[in-house]
Amino acid sequence: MSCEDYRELLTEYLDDSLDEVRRAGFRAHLKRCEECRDLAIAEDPSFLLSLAGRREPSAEKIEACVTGVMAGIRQEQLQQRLRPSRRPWLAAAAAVVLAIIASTAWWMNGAQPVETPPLQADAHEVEILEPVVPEEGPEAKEPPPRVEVDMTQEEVRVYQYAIGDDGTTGAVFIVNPAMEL
Amino acid sequence: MNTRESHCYLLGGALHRCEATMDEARLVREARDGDEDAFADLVRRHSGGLHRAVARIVLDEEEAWDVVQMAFIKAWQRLDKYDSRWKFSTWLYRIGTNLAIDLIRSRASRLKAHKAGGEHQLRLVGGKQETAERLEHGEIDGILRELVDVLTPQQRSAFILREVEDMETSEVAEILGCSAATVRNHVFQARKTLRREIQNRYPEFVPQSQRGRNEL
Repeated sequence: MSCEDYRELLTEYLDDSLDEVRRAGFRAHLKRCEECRDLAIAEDPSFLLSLAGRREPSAEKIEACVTGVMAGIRQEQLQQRLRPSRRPWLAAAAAVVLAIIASTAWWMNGAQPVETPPLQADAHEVEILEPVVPEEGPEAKEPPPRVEVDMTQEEVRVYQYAIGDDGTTGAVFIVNPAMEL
Repeated sequence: MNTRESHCYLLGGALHRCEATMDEARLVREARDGDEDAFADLVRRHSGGLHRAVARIVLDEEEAWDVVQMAFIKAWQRLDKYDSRWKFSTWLYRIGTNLAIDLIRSRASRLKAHKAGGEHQLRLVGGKQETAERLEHGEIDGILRELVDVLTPQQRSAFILREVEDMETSEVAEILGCSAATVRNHVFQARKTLRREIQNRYPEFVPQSQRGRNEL
């Protein structure tokens, strides 16, 4: 093929519609023929980069790569060999810990089921249990006032009672024991 | 070279390629059976080419070697999943290109590439040289590494694999996991961007009559 023949292939090359054989021939010609190469670059400057020379890595670099790869493979194999042997130990340790926790919980509960005392569903007067009494101040020696709560058909239990600064107001925290805090 | 000789040359070339392919298939089979020496031979055969492509994608020679090593280690781990209907190199390049694209996407800054490109540009502006000399001296390689930085990872990979490494469109499509039409589009867009960038940064390569014609 002449240079003129190759130049006619330029448009097809840029459209990527050349078959691989003619494309390889076209590129090989551009690398050999400076005039055709310059014309191609003038038409499309990206040819400057398409025809960039190949720089092959040195043999030393390649051998270093081989060494690194094989070392990486052996390290991965070693880690795989170590990994499964840890599992039985971990599983046994976890089982022992769970057993200890379970048995401790059972022993502390006296092997009896915990029963929640029944609450009065229609209670409208609540007795305060374990009130928080401040240690200092004029309120320290006086018992906290009774709280009258009208909460029929509600299960209630007084959890905490606080006295305001004026001695007359208070805040009552009532928590349904069935609620999960 | 007469016609008969050229036919024999072509036939000999085809036979040579066939033998090389069968030899590689044997190495891959042996590597899958756990033969580390066979795999080491595969590393020797393909590490150079893979590094060349990866280095132009990640724009760093040393990081490219890291990517190449990671690619081969992944290939070893996945050898049981390798489908022999693929060329081994295509499968390997797919792993390596994906790692390279992941790397450039996660990299925080392109400043190193721009700085390197700036220094290179100063050196080139100093003197006019013939294009042929630059091709031989590998300075074009440096320009390539600077300019591909303006491309998206997919455009960069497609342009380098298709135009620089001269792989077939179908093979590039397999490597990038897209269609051949998508590869052509990536290459087309890459060429368009590179034309503009070369015109802006290296106008001495564009003949006077063509300046302004290649703009978007």
